[in-house]
Amino acid sequence: MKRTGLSLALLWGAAPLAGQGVVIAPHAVFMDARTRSGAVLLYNPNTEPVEVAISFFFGYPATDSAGIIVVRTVEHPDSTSPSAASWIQAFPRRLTVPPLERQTIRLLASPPPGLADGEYWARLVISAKGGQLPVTGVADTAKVRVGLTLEVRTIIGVFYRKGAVHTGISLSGLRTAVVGDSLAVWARLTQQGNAAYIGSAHAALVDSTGKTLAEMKAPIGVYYTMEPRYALPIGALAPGRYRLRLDLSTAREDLAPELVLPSPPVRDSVEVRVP
Amino acid sequence: MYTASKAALATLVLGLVATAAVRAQGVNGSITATATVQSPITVTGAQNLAFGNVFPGVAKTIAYSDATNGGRFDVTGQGSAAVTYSFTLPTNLTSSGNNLPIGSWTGYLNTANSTAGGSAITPSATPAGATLSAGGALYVFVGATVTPPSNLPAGSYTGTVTLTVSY
Repeated sequence: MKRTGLSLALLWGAAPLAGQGVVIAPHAVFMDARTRSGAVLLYNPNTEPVEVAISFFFGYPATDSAGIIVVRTVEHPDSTSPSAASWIQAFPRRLTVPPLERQTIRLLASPPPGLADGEYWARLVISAKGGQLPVTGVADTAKVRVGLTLEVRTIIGVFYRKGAVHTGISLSGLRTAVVGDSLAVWARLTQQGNAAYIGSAHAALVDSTGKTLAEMKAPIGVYYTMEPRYALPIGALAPGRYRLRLDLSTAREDLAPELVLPSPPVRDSVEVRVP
Repeated sequence: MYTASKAALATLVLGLVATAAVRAQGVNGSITATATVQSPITVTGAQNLAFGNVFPGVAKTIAYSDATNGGRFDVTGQGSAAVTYSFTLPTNLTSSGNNLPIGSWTGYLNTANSTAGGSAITPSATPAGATLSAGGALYVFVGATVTPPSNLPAGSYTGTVTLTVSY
């Protein structure tokens, strides 16, 4: 059965906007050595044309000292880095998306000969700029009028897979602290295998009966090692002993199942004492 | 929002399939309509940072909390997703080679379209992290101050504010 790729979600309920920017789908592009190609759909929901420019760089999500997830940019990746930024191209690289229309960006990979099996990464930069905003002010009375144009750059992940790829994750150092009305949760996550771990983190605080008192779920991508910080809103928790459970799985609602590399769930828990 | 969209989309897809099935009853054949739903991300410059008229020698500040004139970017994507954001900000607005200094940038980050209940930020080029709401929304508000020198020539001064969001 031929599968028709329709991003109907892009068009559904998209009322014209006065803003500047484009809808981008998917938010992660997966390519393989068989087709060496991918596509990104852009939709302009605005009432004005949007000028778009496409570029690539090498980077990956990591965590800073506070556990905040940020994208680490590597301007000059060495030969050991799994960078695909230099050999994936986009067509076209510059385009104008008319109002309420969509355009497709084709991605084509030209990997170097002898590329080892594994997963290679790049970051796709989609710069969108609307037309010059009207300079506001009353011309008759104003000596100086001021206008600012807004530009947005959206960066999404590109994954190129060759040969046998597999992933996994190790979880260690799970710890918590009550911070105000939240429970802060830290854990050390290390990717295993030859591909990034793309999955979800689910944290739940339970009492002695197993009743869930607070929980959070967030998508996660672990490329190397990271120590993310999560916060569970717990409000005024009664003094006592609780348990924090952290589950990591490769289930993702926002990605097609065939694109996500499966891996067994990983779990850990730690006691939480509220004085 | 996306839940509603997905539900509506599912209804549409089911409708397509149902339509195909009904049509198939009149002929000896059938077709199957399929659709691939892709989760999008959107970063939009939703509201201009509008200074309007300014006068030489008189600084003018637009607060991020100015609902009418403050700048606002809207981000939508997967619920609870972590994103990295940074700004590229002009130090001058220009007109025919003349410069109008702009600075003292202020900002506010919230998962609701409001300048209350979120976090004040200092817009800068240094990447910082944020998390979309459970519904997949993030709002970024910006304000700034222009300081026109007293001898600033008349004209239309323009510049670009760039928000970079890494998903």
